[in-house]
Amino acid sequence: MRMPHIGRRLLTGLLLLLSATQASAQWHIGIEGGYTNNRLARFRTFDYTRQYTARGGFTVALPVRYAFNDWFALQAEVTFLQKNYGLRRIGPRAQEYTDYTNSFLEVPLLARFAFGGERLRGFLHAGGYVGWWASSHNRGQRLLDIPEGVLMPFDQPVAFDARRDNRFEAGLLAGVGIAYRLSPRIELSAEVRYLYGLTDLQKPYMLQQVPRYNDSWICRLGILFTLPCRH
Amino acid sequence: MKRILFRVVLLLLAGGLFGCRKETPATMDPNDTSCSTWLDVFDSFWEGMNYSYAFWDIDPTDWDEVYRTYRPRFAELGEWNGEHLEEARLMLEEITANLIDHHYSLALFDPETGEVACTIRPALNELRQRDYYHDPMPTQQFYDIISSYGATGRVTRLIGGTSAAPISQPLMMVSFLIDDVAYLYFDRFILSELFLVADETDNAIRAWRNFWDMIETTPNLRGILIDVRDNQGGYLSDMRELAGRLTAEEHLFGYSRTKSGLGRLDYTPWLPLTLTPTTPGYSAAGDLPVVLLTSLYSISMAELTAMAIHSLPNGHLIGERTYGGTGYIYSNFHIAYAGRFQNEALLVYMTSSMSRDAEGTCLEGIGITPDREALFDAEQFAAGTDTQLEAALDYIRSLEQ
Repeated sequence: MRMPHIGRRLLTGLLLLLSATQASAQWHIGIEGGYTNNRLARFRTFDYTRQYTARGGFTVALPVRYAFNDWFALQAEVTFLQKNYGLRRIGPRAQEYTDYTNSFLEVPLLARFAFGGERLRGFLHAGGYVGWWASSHNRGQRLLDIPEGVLMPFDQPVAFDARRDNRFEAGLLAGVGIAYRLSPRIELSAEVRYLYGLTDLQKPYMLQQVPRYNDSWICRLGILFTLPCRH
Repeated sequence: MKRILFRVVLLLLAGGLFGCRKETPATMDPNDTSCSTWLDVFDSFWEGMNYSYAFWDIDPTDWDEVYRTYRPRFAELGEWNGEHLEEARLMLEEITANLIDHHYSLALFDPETGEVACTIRPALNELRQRDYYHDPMPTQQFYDIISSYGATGRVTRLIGGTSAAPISQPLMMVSFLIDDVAYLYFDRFILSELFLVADETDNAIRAWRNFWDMIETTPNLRGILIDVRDNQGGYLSDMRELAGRLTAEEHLFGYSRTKSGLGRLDYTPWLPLTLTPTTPGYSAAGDLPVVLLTSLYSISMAELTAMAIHSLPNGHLIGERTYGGTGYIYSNFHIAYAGRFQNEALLVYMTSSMSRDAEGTCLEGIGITPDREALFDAEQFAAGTDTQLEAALDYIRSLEQ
């Protein structure tokens, strides 16, 4: 029986990958950190004087990478990151605002495709992540009603509401960056990554619910160490 | 060919990504809905409540079940006309029967005339179940009783009447001295508006000035009695005009919050409700006992005032447990996205905020319990004795001992 043309190509590719794996498979471990910019993805509804704004935060990650060869690797991470956003008002209550600071623990799993020269290489990341919404904090100010018109600041942790808050998060990610090999065992990297949330931040607790998702840009710098190989 | 294939794959990928997210429902502003069928009426009502009712956190009504049960039944009513108005009213009565917001009322407009055809007030069901339920205090009998006290000389410095000022709602105010106690009665909190437009000859203004003058000038004054029985509430700013004059320093008396988003459980943080002195460092009451007389029909701002007076070290409440409408309306719908909304078929009146007392208890649907209970006695009242007023005066006497 003749194997279909595409099937033959795939099989050939897999064999090449495995053979390369045996020849140059390597473990890398490191630490990365950087800036996050998150916005609450929420479609337009009739409450137009409520405006959700993107806010910055930070992230720290511990990546572990298994490189099958010099152009393909799989990477897993343990990541702490903030996915913050703001709520602003336009119109008569424009002095009121709330800034939400949300902390997540996430485990991204991604494929890494590298290209370029010996020391300076570009790379692409594609994968997904699962996460846990660890804490929430809000800060802002509201106009008091009694006494009227007095601006009251607040700055407090937010208690999760088990009826509403979906603390499990999952999504897709894609990234692009460059890596510079400082020495045979040390690599510096810079990456821009986009996280696309697929889980609503709310449980389905009401009909006609307006879903909310996190969408985040991340700029990260990091250092990775190549672990010694056993042959 | 490759380029076309690449684009197709990209499109499929993008479609797949966005398809993974839930669809956003087409939310509508309940004020802007035009109704041609009873289903339109139901949808505007149900959605307006779904996104903007301030009490979903504690309300026992299963709003999703309301949707599943009643939407098909409204759809069966067909075109929006007067023929099915009564059926719609009965269903809306069932739907709203257990809503906790005691300000809540729902008016249905007649499709033909545009006039209010019926009004549903679910709080009245709860009130009727209270063991001390009674009709509102007959106002004329109250005036007669006060006049009779005046005739015997027990009441002096009696001034009062209905305001003739061009204010948005009628106001009745009476003040007098009884048993060396300065007494003030008024039926709604509209003082902030009154002071802007009324002159010194206005009945309400004269009663108001008389009250404060009695407090300042009466030797051996034993106390201050503010009667908010059957008071219908009103402006939050009146807190400064009345209770603010009775304290020299700030007192926390509760907390409030409103909606922060379209989710049923989206709320702002709880923020303090504070009684602040009108003149910092000065209280017109001094150390005198300040007693607030409440009734079953004391609602809204009257209840917030009760909470504020209760927070004073010399503040006391007597009378009946109040109505239980402790939330308030702080702004219009397009600012608060909560509270009153109206379209061509219906008008929903509800509060835009939840309140708690200083201990953190939400008293919506329950009311403020006085320090000492004094129930309305309709028979005695008709016979010329205001037993609640007498109990309040006794209470002030008891505080001296």
